[in-house]
Amino acid sequence: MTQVSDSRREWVKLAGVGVAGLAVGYGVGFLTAPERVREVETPVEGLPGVPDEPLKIGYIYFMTGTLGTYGTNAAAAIELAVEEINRNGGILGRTIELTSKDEADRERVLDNISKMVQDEGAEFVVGLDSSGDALKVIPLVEDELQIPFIVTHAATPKLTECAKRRFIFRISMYEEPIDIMAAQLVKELYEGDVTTVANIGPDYAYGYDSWAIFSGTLQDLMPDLEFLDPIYTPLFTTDYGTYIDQIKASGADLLFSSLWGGDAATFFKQAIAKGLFDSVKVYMNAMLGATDTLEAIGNDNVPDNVDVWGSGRYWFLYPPHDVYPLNRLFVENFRGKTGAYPPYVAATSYTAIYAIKKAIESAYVMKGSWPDVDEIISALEGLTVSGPMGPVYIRPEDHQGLYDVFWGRLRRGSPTYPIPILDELVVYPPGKVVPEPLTTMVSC
Amino acid sequence: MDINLFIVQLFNALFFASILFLISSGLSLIYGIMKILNLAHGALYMVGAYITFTVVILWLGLSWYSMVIAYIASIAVVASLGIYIERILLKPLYNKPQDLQLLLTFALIFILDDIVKMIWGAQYRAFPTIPGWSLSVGEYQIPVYFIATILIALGVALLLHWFFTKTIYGKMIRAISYSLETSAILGINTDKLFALSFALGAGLAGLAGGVAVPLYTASPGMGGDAIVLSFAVIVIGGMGSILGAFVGSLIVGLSRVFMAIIYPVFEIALIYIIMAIILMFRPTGLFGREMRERR
Repeated sequence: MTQVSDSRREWVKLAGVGVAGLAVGYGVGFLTAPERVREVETPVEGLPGVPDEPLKIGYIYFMTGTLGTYGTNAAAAIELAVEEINRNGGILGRTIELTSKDEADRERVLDNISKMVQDEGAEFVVGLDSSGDALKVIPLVEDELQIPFIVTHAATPKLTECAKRRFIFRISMYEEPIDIMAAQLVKELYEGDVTTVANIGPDYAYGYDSWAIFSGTLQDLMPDLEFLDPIYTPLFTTDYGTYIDQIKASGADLLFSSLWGGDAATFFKQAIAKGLFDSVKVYMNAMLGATDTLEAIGNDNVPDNVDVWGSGRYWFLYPPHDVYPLNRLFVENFRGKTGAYPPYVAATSYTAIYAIKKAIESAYVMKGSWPDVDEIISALEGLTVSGPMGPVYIRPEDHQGLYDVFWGRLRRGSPTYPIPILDELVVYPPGKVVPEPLTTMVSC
Repeated sequence: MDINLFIVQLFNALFFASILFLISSGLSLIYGIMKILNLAHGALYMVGAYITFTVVILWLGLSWYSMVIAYIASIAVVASLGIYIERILLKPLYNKPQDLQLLLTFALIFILDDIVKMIWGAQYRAFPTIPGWSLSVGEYQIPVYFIATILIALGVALLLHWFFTKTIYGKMIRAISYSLETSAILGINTDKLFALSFALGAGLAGLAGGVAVPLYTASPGMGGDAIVLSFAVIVIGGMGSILGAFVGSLIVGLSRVFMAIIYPVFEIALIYIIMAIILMFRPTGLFGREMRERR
């Protein structure tokens, strides 16, 4: 035993000296060898044709101000995706680096996007909360920057329905299918129970379009309903009393709303305090399925005397965690990082990063080296990527991401969830509610 | 419009005007005395909102006495914050160009927003329910909290009136706002009174945030939205005049609520049209007077 041990120790010692000698020799040889030799002797480190430097992705959201919660949540989800990808070797061995700008810097949205691409070397940009900004960047991205740009939040139908863009994609569900489904749901559940329909929405394009789509669809389905003049409120209204009493005076029993974020919570709370739901029997809010809004509404604040329905671009309990573990993992990891249940902007921005990864990898398989922009675009068109909201199909005809659309009944959260939750989820496949490519109910 | 609807809409307007008055009186007061346009006034209002939220929802639980404690805490915390801001940040800038003060108070908006994010997070914070019951007016309801808010605003207006006309400090502050030099020559400690005035203005912002938060939704950046209408109020009422802030708030509150009923497209525009007309005929506002030179 001892002998074996001793001889092994000797051997290890000898080997150690040998390795050290080799290392020194290699080092000296490396430093003194001519350039050409060095190149040849350097072993291939990564996959062939993959650049060494990190891949830079830029993002832009509202990071400050009242809408700053959107950016904070999107940034956390993007960081989560990038951490996961980098931990597992990056994209084909290339790590991802992030750069970001604040969409709240209103005067410089276009400049800042250019800066990320032209000065900081971003090869992809994701983001945009504002629909106005999404339409504004079209000429910049399509004509000048010409890099893949994935919109993850801005919801105007005009972005993908009015023309096929070359470089711009939208991975998040947009407003039209959600509003169309709302009308179908009213017919399915409340035909004969409601007679008069009112609207309260934000006083800009989104509010107007939402009402036009919902009321237009519903009028075709249930022509006997009476549609009241819609009410539009300035963004960040803090005081809804006057509108609430107007709606009450109008005798409406179905109220549709596209108020969002803190505004949706503020309106809802004041509506309860002013007894609006003594007369309104069904309240449908297209943006209520946002965890941050529901947290603000609070668990004890769900009235019993009204059917409240909410929708959104993603709901953290769908697809169900037991049958779709990717969503469970995302919810757990996002909670671990931020302490909150992920709102929809988190899910869509997270998915955008994985769509980029998958597109690059698909294009790489065909080419054998890092794909150029055109090849990445072709790979994104028709791509199916798994996100927390389920599989997302990027329709090649209009670059719009498609996945399940839902509406759910608002319920007090159980002890498991300290926020009100959407229960009795009704889920429609996109084929039932998404218009044909490049057709729209709004004017382009 | 039937009479019941008219009454509830009147209360909607008065409630809105009350919140506006609480915000804009502090803004106007600081400007009137110190000639500082405190752009961060909305951010101080935001801090007040978060303090009341914390005391009532996170610590004590919702009750009338916890609301009172929360209001006092909001005033105290924000007024102290005001003293620090005035002593450490603003004081060194008094003899420098006014742009620097504007830049500083502008920077403070972002600093305070970020501090709020660090302490309370970026998510919306809101009262789960609005405190108190509602009074019925026909089929309509007026939350009793609306009435409490209106009474608080009236109380603050009367207290401020008493402070500025009856107390020695109030009189000294008024003297400063007329002439800083003469006041200093007469032996008034202008330095101390500047700190007091800023603290008073900040405390009013804190109270405004505390009173508003049960009905509104708190989030970082909420101050930016609140401050815009307050500027309209003090331009209409006259910068530096508490009475102006009171009347200005009523004008803005009433015109907004009733325009929203009569011709909603003009709801916000009307406020700025009134403002423009007043600026044309009375550039100092309804109750403003010629401004003294800055020192």
